[in-house]
Amino acid sequence: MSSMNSPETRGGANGGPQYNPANVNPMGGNGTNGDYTGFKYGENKALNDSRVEGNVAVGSIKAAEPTQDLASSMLAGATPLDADSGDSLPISDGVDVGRGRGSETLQGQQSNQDQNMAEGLYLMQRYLPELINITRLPGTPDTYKKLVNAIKQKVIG
Amino acid sequence: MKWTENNFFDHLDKFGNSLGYDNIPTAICLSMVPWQSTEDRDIFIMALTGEDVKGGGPSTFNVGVVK
Repeated sequence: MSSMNSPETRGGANGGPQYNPANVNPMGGNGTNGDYTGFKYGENKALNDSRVEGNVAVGSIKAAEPTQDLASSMLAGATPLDADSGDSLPISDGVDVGRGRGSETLQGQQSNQDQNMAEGLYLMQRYLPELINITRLPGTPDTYKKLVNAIKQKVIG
Repeated sequence: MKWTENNFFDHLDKFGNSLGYDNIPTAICLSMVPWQSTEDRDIFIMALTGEDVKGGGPSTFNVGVVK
């Protein structure tokens, strides 16, 4: 039981020391000296170790990537208008005009032509009997018959 | 059965004579294309060769003999 003149001790805004601005810590929060990180020592050490390992991993990845300095050093002083070096081939290489080698270097194209001719000869041999039978139909044009004669000569030789 | 247009043999006649006998393998391959019409085929040939289509037509249906 309290009297009217005694201090209020029942809680609430009773004017206690926490209401004095001089007692508020300038670092805020928990009222300590500011070094508090929220972790105990052991936890803080583990986090720090993982951070160091992560930095090492990121550093190794960045070291593997080509940097702009490397690319610029490879093209140092080069412009599109520069003459070709001895190692590179001119744009007209493989064509019978301009600088560089001629069309004789395109051996793959010649082999493709040979392959097409072989396939065509096979097709002519395969279809020749039917092509000849069609020439006996009424209304067959002469041009077709001449064409079949030419095919026959190519196949038989 | 008689000669009809817009089939493989008709296409071969037109392609073979338009492209020349040296290009018969190519003519055979192009003759296998299912052309929508002879007009479409002839337009293709004219675009390819730059010349009129060669080959038989109704006016050249003459009897010939295969050796």
